Amino acid sequence: MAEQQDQQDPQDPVAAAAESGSESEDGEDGERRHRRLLEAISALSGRKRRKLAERSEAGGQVSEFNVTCKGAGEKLVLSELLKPIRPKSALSSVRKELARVKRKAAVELPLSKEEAKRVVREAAYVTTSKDVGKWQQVVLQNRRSEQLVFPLRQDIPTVTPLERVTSAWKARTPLEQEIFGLLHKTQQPITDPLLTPEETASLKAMSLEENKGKWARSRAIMAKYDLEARKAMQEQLARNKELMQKVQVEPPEEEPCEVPEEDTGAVAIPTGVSTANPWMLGKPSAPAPEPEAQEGPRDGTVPGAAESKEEMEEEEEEELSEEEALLQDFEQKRQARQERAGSPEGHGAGETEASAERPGDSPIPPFCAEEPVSTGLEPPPQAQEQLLLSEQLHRVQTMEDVEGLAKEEPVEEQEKPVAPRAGKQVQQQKERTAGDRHAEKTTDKKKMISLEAVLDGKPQEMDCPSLPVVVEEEEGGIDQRGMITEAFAGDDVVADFQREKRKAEEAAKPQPVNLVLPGWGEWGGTGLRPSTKKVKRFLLKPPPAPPRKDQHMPHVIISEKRNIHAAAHQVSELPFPFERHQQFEQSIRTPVGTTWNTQRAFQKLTAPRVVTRAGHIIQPISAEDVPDTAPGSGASPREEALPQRQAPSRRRPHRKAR
Amino acid sequence: MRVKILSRNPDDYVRETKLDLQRVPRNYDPALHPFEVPREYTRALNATKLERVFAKPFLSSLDGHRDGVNCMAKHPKSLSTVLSGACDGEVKIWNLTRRQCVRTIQAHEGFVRGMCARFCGTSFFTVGDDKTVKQWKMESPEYGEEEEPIHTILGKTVYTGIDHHWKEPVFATCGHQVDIWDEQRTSPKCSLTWGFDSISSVKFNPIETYLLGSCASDRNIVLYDMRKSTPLKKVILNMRTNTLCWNPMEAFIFTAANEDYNLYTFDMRYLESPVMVHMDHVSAVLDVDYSPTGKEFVSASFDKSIRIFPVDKGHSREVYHTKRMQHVITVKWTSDNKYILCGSDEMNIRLWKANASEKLGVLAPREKAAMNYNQKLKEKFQFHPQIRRIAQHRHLPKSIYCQIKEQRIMREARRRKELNRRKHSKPGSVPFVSERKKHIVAVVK
Repeated sequence: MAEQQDQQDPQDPVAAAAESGSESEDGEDGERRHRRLLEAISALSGRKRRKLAERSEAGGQVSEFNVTCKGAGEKLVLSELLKPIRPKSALSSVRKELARVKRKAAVELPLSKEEAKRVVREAAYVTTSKDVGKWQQVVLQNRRSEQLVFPLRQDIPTVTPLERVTSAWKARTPLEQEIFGLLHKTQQPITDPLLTPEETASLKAMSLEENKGKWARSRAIMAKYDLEARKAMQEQLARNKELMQKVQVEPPEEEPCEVPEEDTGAVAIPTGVSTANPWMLGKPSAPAPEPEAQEGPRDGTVPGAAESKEEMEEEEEEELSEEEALLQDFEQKRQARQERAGSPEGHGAGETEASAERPGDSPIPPFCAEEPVSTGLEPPPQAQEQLLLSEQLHRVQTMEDVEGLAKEEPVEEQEKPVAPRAGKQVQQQKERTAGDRHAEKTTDKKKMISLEAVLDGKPQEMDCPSLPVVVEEEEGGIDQRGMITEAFAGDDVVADFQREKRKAEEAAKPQPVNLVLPGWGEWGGTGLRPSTKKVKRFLLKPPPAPPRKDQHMPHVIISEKRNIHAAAHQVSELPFPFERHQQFEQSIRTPVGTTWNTQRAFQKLTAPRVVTRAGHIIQPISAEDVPDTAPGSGASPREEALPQRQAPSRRRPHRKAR
Repeated sequence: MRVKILSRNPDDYVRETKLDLQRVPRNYDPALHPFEVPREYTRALNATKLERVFAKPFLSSLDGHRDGVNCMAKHPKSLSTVLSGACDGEVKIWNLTRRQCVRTIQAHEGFVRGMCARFCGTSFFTVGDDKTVKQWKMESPEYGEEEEPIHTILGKTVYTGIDHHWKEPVFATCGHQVDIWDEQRTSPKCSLTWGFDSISSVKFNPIETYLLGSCASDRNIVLYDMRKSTPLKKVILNMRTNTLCWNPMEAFIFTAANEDYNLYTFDMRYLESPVMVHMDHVSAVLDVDYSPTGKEFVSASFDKSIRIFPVDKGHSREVYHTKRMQHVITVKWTSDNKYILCGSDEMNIRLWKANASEKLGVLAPREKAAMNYNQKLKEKFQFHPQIRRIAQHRHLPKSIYCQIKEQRIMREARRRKELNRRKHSKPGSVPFVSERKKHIVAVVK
């Protein structure tokens, strides 16, 4: 073994050298050895084999599969000298390839048809559900929204400005043409009702940019030379700008009550009118003071540039013809019209404001805070197991039947199996809410009492608007009183009540607790009483009760005990969407009706969840209905206000009627 | 002598025109309006009682068919038109305002299996037991003209259902496979198959119109994508689904009417468990249709009643039945959200109000305000026992009533058994399975 190793050891460097040397050389060496070995073997066998003639010379064809004499008949090329000394054998790449192929496993079989289909399906499902998922925001929005108006795509009635309407209109009848002729003659506004040509002319005159006013023109010329004139002109320019701005801004401000989001409570108070006796002017409603208010600031320009104004007025007076009276008449009418035109404009402004506010709008409208029922408390769906209907075999057709129903004990409540956990919760709830129940009870108690309160004698006193009626009433009243006293001669209601109250007071007093045990520590037996000392010691006196609430009310008994009759109308456990009893109580406490709310608040509170229009086909929702959530863009806060925007637009007509 | 007189602003009480509303001076001081809760409670109670008294949902019955009504279709453009197909191959077009049949066609031999109107409302398609798909004009033929279909396609197998695309001239039929047809061609544009059982119903999604849903008799619901002409996913339920309906306002929600008396609302993105299980019927549910607002749907059942379910509630809010109404096979909710039509075995189509106590016709503004107020009050006091008791009361025929009772007992027994089994076996070996998961066998990708 050692020898072998020794033999091998010197071989190893050789082999290594051979390996590191050119591989073709190595191959040649191996071949030679192999041939020698074959010769040796054939010699061993004894029988002489015919030797194949073998060519050992360099052949004409140079092939890598044959033995060659290197470099025979080859020309030396310069480029070869530049190559690396030991160029890569041409076979090496093939060998590498071979090794790689050997290493590699067999090619996988193509997917089965089923598998391939499945992959396609899965991919398609993923993309499709992603496509569909873009509706998520819209859906959530619609589910949460306070009000949905269907059909979704409806042409919201827009208020077209008067100018646009009048521009389309043309005079046809002779009367109309005559009037139009007159208007033309006097240069009254035909299409634009808000400004007469004179007004526009004066405005233009005041603006320096146009350089049309005589004064301005002359001043402009003067300004080149005179510093003072320049100053005056600049002042005038600034003033004009101010005025122009006011003119533009004022119309929407004129009627703050028209802005849809605001409360109607604040009504614009006329500013220009003296408050001494404003309404005794003969007219039921005085012409709105806006024109004065508008004219006020215009006049205010006068002190600034008094002379210039005068000049202008002179100019204007020249323009004014003899039909001055007529003009003034027109003016008045126009102002009235301006007022009226103000309201649609106000609407328009309100709308734009609303739309501008939309992105920032909180999704929950203000009145939600009062009402936990309608807030976003989305019931977790598991808790919806409760039946919505109690199905019975008998029909309910008349009011009496219905009333009979109400008195019945709710059947499903008995059948409902109460889960132990739920029971515990309810107990806890009860403990927690014990105090708050009182409040509820009192309200119900009040309600019970209310009937008696109504039966009080007060209305009799109130029904006496005028003198003769009073006399008659008195006469009748005496008779009635006499009759009543006669009828109820026997019973003394007041005394009865007082007795009842005393009884209630007695009952409500806390009783002492007797803990005396006879026989302990002393003799016991029949006929023996515990000693007074002991009684004194073990008879526990409770602390005195707090003063009664009806202490100072002789006609009232306030009892805070549970009343069975009232309990039939009370909610015994916290209903589902509410998390705390306070929420629920608040939702009940807030009145909805017109008796307690303004008209607008009432409308807001009672707005139905879904509004549909009779005879209108409701198409399925489409991407056009929610333009902002067009595919891919996901949710945009803008459309959160979509249903809310529709609501006020629907209600606009009501506001106009005043 | 000084005389004191009242001085009032005429603006406060004089109307500008006589058409203006009278100004009613009001004092909102809460001290002057005490007992608001009891007063509103009384109003709510009265409103609830009146609602029950006025709850008369049945409007009319359209009779004229000579066999059970098997399918119906809404006219996409006209509210007053409805189409119905009967089991004897007859198709009738009804005018709802006159409550009359305006046209009768002998469309097929054997059942009219399915029908649908084209989205433009100019024509409609029917499929029948005679392996044909026929397209008909919506208008009746001229005088002397033959009553003939515009197109007839003869198929190889029976078609059991048909639905039209909502925007394009494409329709889908189902039978042995789901075929999607171009209106201009006589061979299907593509055929979608998955499994080998017969498909009972196919429906296009009204919002994402390339989506299709179908239900087959091997208890599964399959969704397809028309663009890629491939099925998407399959849910296998415990029992067969008869038909399904997509929510017209929520693209990914659909409801399936199942043989196991329940309806299942699915979100197509999460088919592993339904969003809601709607249970109240006592027999197989045969048809379902969404209200156009997408908030509710109506279901027709073999138990001779129709029920209205809110989408997010597990139980019905309303049940309609009459003595004469037999197994209800088909039901539709009209496109104005006001009425419900149901076709039943005993050859009648019945027209119901969707809101049982609603007053029909135009309401004056004050009426409308009062209605809204009452509605709000009912909603506000809905948890109070007396009001709830009245609002929930419904009359049921004895058969349904008894069946409900029976099923309640059965359910209770099953529950008890499971409870006992859980009690007496190794903890964790009997898992809790929620009601929603219980009915789903598998989801196949």
